[in-house]
Amino acid sequence: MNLRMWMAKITALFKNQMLEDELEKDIQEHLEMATEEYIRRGMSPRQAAEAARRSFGGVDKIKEEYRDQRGIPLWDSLSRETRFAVRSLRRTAAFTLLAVLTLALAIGANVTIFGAINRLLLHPSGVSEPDRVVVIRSGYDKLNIRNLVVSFSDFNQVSDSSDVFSAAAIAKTASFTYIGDQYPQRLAALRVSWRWFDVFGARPALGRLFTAQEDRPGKDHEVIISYAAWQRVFGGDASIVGKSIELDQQLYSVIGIMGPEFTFGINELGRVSGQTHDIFVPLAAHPDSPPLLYTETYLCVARLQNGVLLPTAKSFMSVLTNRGLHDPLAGKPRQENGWGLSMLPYTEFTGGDLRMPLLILWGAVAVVLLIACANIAGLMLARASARSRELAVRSALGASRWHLFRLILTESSILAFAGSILGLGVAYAFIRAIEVASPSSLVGALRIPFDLPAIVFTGAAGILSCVLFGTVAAAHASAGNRFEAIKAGGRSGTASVEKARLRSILVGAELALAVVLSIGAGLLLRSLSRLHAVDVGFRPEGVMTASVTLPESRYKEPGPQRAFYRGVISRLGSLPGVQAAAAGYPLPFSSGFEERPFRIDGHPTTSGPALTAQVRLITPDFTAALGIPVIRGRPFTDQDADRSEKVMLIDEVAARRFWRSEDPLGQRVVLRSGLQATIVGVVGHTKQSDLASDSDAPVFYYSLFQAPLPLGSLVVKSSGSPLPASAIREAVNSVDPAQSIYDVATMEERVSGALGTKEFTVILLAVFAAIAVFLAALGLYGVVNYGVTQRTQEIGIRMALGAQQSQVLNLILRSGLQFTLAGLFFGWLIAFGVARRIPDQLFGVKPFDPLAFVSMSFLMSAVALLASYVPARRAMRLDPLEACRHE
Amino acid sequence: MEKSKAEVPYGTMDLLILRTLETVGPMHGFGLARRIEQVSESIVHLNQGSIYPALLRLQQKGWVATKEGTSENGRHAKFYSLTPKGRRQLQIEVENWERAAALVARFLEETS
Repeated sequence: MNLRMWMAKITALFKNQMLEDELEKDIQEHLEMATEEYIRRGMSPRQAAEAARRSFGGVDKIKEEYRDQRGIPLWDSLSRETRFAVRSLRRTAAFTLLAVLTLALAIGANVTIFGAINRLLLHPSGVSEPDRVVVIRSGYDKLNIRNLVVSFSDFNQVSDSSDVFSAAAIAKTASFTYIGDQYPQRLAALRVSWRWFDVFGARPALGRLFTAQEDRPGKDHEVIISYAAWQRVFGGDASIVGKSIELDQQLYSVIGIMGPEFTFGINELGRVSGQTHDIFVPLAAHPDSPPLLYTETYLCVARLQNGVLLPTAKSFMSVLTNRGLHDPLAGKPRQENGWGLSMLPYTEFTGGDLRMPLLILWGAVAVVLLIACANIAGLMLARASARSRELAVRSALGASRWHLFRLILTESSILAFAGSILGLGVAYAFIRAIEVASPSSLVGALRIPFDLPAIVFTGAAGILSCVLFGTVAAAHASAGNRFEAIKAGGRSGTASVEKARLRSILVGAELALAVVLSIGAGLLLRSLSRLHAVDVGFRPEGVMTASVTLPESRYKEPGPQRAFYRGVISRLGSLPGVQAAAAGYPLPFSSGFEERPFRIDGHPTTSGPALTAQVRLITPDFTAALGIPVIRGRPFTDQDADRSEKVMLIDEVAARRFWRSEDPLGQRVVLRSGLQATIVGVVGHTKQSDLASDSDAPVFYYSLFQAPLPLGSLVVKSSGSPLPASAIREAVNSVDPAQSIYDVATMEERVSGALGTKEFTVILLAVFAAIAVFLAALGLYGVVNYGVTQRTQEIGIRMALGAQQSQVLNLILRSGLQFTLAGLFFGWLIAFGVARRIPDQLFGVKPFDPLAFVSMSFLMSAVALLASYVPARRAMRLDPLEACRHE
Repeated sequence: MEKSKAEVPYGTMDLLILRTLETVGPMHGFGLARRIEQVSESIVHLNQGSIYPALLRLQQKGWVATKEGTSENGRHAKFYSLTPKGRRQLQIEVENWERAAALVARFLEETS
C-alpha cells in the first residue's frame, strides 16, 4: 500500500460516520436506479425492488468489504472490541470494581517503592548524570579500616588526573552561628573546594558559584545558601545575593542560592540523613606540611570524564594507590598498614544504609503485585466459567479461538489500564502518607518524587500485570471444548474443571506468597522489639540535650571555654525540676567519636598495633544526668577541675580489656597527644550509635574542665518531662547572647532516631504484608465461594439425604483448608530460603525463629478460615429444595 | 445460478472498471455495474454491489475521481471518472494483461 492510500485510510478514521452515511446513500441510489430499470422492463414495483437487491448482491457483505477497504481493519475491530469489552465489564460491575481496586492498590504500592528506589539509589535529586559521579575513599587493609575519608594529597592526585575525572572536589562538614533578627541560629554548613558543584553538575538558582581564587585561605569569605535555608532563614529574599551576612561573628558575602532540587544531606560517613546543608562556604584548604597533607580528613567526590567507564576508573585507583605508596613524604605507615584508595558510585555511597531495606520492600511490593494479578486471573477464570455458555455460543456462531482470546485480552487491557490510572492516585496517596509518617531522620531523604519515571513505571507495571493475568485467563477462555459447554448448560464440563484446577493453583500460590511476606514481616517485627528492649547503658528518660559550638574568635583559650560551661551548667542546674545538668562531648547516639591511641604507664610497649580507645569529655554531673552507673572508684567532682593532677574514668569494657588481672584504679594512661591522667573510677558501658551493632570499643572519660573543648553538648536531666529547648537557649544566652544552640533533641529521641529508619521500613513491610494477606484471603474467598455455587445442587442433594448443617460446613471449610495447608507448606519453604538471605536485617532473632513462623502461620490460617467460613455459612444455610433445583 | 459462470477473477475488476470508464466517460455506479454486467454477462457472474469496494480502492489509489451529478433520468447520483493518472494506469494494466494472456495462450497451445 502506498502513502496516498494510508492517508486516505487514516483520514477515513476521523470521518467514519460521514462516510458511512455516504456509502448508505450510494447504495440506496444504486438500488433505486436498478428498481426503475426493472420497472421499465415491465416488472411490478415489488418484483423490481426484489430483483434489484438480488443483482446487487448481499448488501451487508458489500458494506463490510467496503469498510475494510476504507479503513484499517485491525483498528476498526479493535475499537469495536474495546466498546464491547467495556459493555461486558460494566455488566459485571462488582467484578470489575474488585479487579481494578486490587490492581490499583498493588500498582500504587509498587510505584511508591520504585519512586523511593529511584530517588535514593538511582537518581538522587539535584545531581545530573548521577552514574558518572563517584566517591573516592581510602583504607588501611592491614588495620581492617575501609571506607575512610581521604587526605589532601590524595585529592590532589585525583584532581590532577583530568583524563579520568572531569572534575573533583573535597568537602568537610562544619557549622556556623548566624545572628539574624531574632536569636542566634546554628546553620549546618559544608566547606567545599571550589569545583564541588561542577562534580554534581549543579547550577545555582540565583547568583554564581565559587571561583578558584575564592578557595584560598584568607579570601574565603563567600557563602552559597541552600534553597531550603534561603526560604527558612532569609524568607526567600532575592536581594540577599550580593549582601553580607554575619557567620560566627565574621562577615561573609552571599554569592549564590542553590535551586530547590539541590538538597543533599551527605556527610563524611555517607549516611543519608534528614539534615541537609544550609550553607556552603569555601574549604580554602591548602595544607603544605606533611602531617596535614596526609591526614585523612575530607570527603572526596569526582565526576568521570566523558567516555571513561566505571571499571576503567576503578582500575585507575590502583595506579593512584601505587603513587601514594611511593610518595617519599607520606612516610612508612602507608606501606606498613596496607594503605590504598578505592572508588564507589555516588549512589551506592549515599544509599548504603537504605539499600537493603528498600530492596526488601521492593520484593514485598512485587509479591503484592503478583498476588493481585493471580487474584484477578482467578476472578477472570471464574467469570469465564460463568459465561462459558456465552463464549460457546459465540464460537458456535463463528468466532474463532483467536477472536475469543482477543476478547478476553481486550478486557484485561482495559482492567490494567483502569488499574494503572487509579494506581497513580493510590501512589500519590501513599507518597503523601509516607512523607507525613516518616521519621525525622528520613524526612529530607524520603521526599519521593511523583514524576515522569514514576508514570512510565506505572505504565510498565500495568502492561506487565495485564500480561500476567490476561494471558492466563485468555488462553483458558479460548481453549476447551465449547460444544460441551453448551450441552453442560454452563455448569460443569471439562473446560470448567480445568479452570477450577488452575484457579486452585493460583490461590495456593497467592497464599504461599502471603505467608512468605507475613513471616518476613514477623521476623523483622520481632527484631524490632528486641532492639527496643536493648539496654543502652544509660537512662535516657527525661533528658534534654542541645549542642553548642563556641567561635574561635572569642573562645580560643581554655579559660573562657571553661567559664562558659560553668556559667551555663550552674544556671541550668538551678532551674526547678532539674536534677542534674552537665556538658559532654560526644554524646551517645550522635557522631563525633574518635579512636585515640594511648599507652599505659608501666606496661611494656608491645610491637603490635597501638592500643586505642574512644575519648569522651564530660563535666562532673554527666554520669549522674545520664544515669551511667559508677562501678568502682568515684565519678568526677568539681574539685577535680582545680587540681593540677589530671583524672580520668574508664568504662567496664576498657577495664576488662586493658587491665584484665590488675586494678585499674590509680593507673596512669598516656594519650599519644600527650595528655596524662590517673584513673579514679570505672563506669558502665554505653551503646554509642547503633542499637543493633555495638562497636564495643573501650571508652575513656576525661574532665571537660581539665581539657576544655570549644564544642560540646548540654545534657539536662529533669524529674518529669524533658526541659524545653527554650530554657536551654535562655541559659546559654544569659551567659553569652551571641551563642546559639543546635541539634536539639531529647535523649530518647536520639536513641529512637537510631531505630527510626529501621522501624519505618519494618512498618511499611508489615503494611504490605497485611495487604498481601488480605488479597490472598480475597482470592481464597473467591475460589471457595465459587465452589459453593458450583456444588449447590450437590449440597442440596446431600442435605435432602440427611446431611447435617455442620457436615456441610465441614465439607466447605475442608476445601478452604486444603488451599491454606498447601499455601503454608510452600510458603514455609520459600520463607526459609528468604530468611537465610537477610541475616543483616535481623537482630536477636534467628532466621528460622519459631515464634515468627508459627504465629504468622496461625494468623494466616485464621484469616483463611474466615475467608472460607463466609461461603461455608452460605452453603450451610441453603434451602435443600431450592438447591436441588439450582441450575 | 449456473456453476460455469465464475465470479469475476481477482484483480480483473480494476481493469474492467478503468476500461469501462475510458470508453463511456464519467458514469454513476449503477451505470458502470450494468455496463460491465452486459459486456461480461455470458462469461462471469457479477454482483453489482461488488464494484463499490473496487471503486473505493481505485479512488484511494488516485486513479478514479468522483463528482456529484445528475443521471439521464434526472436523478441525483455520484459520477465516477478516470483521472489522467488512471488513464496511464489503464495503459499499464492492459499491457500487463495482454502479456499475461499471451503467455497463458502460448502455454495452452504447446501443451494441448
